[in-house]
Amino acid sequence: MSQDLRVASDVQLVVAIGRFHQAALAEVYRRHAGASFGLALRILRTRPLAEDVVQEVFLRLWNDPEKFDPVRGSLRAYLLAQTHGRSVDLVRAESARRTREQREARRRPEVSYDLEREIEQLSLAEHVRAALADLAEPERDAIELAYFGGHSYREVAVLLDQPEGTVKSRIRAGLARLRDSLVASGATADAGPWAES
Amino acid sequence: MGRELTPRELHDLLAVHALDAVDGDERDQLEEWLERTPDALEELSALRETAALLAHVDTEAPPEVWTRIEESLAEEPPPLAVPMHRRRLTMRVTAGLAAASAAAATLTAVVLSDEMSRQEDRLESVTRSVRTRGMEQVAIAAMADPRARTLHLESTSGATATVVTMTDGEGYLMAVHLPRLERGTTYQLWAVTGDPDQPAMVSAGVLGRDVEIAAFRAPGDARGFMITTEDAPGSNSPHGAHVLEGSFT
Repeated sequence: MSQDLRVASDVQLVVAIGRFHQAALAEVYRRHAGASFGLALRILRTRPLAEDVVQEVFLRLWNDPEKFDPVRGSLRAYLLAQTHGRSVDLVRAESARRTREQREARRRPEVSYDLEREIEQLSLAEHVRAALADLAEPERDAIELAYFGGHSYREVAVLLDQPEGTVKSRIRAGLARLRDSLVASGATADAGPWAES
Repeated sequence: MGRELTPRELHDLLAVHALDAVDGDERDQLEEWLERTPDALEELSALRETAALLAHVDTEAPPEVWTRIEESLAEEPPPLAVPMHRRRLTMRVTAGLAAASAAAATLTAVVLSDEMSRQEDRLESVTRSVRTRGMEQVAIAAMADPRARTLHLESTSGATATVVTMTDGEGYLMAVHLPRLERGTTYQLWAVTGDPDQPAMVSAGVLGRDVEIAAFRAPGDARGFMITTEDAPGSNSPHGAHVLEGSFT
């Protein structure tokens, strides 16, 4: 891996990918595939499926680099949104859902513990954990079920036995509070902490 | 099809949508609304940045996945795996940059292959996309890089351009007062490389009819650049009028 690529910005790497620079894709993979895989694994709970999602996300970047819009956000957020969307698509497949909901019922009490354990060694993750902990429990539950559980807000409403409008409000308020908290702690800024590696 | 949501209701769904938690007809309505509501799209992007923070659970990416990705690239159409510089058009001229136009007639023509055309299509697509989305900031950031080389191209018509090249060959062009060309013609950027007594002219990119800023790739040892006007979709060698040129001192 050339030193130039190591210090290149994410946007420069995407431009290089547009020029069929495989080493640039490798560098993007080095920077962001861990987060992509971690997210996919958390949602899908099966390693082979998570690996497939990561592969698909990075191949999509290779094939359609112009779909990344640096003005609209960081490359990391873009890749994670792709990862999340694809993972949710898979988890919402009817057969997978049925199996998963059975697992979910057994595993739900462990969710908070797992989240803390997985991220405790990462400094940014520490901030995220603290910010999540600061959220009101109903907000945190709604966000975690939607984001990590892959549930629609209507499903979250059923799972939490709350009106749909309440769930929408909690997710909106929780995300806003989370962002404010992370900005206040210096863990992130408007451009996001990963705009430059 | 459910009932039509009001803009207020659609706006209230943005945060939920950032978590991919809207589905069915509501999702369709939301995405349609986002296409014609740039402010909402921007707000959604900010919300997705926050959602990405939630995902900050880095796990070591499996190396075998990268291996699979690499293999997939190799299986894709061949040009994807071939470094651009190997396919770059290289022509020898017998005089220096100032005489390049006269010598162009003697250049060896290289036929643009389908693969080359596909590469150019993709390059143009990415360049156009990034240009409109922050290329200027990228180019300015590149100019500030201590390893970058900057060259000002000048003309007698008042148009100017700044070329920034990085050590790996990545480059950015920022042009000022370059007039829009008529249909059927295009600006084309050329890098001058090789022996000063026998320089090689290398196409660094077809720039289109209307150039303000563009990304390109050129040999790292480029000694100068020039822009010519060519018949669309571009030329194998610089046949057209020189618009701008300059050499590194």
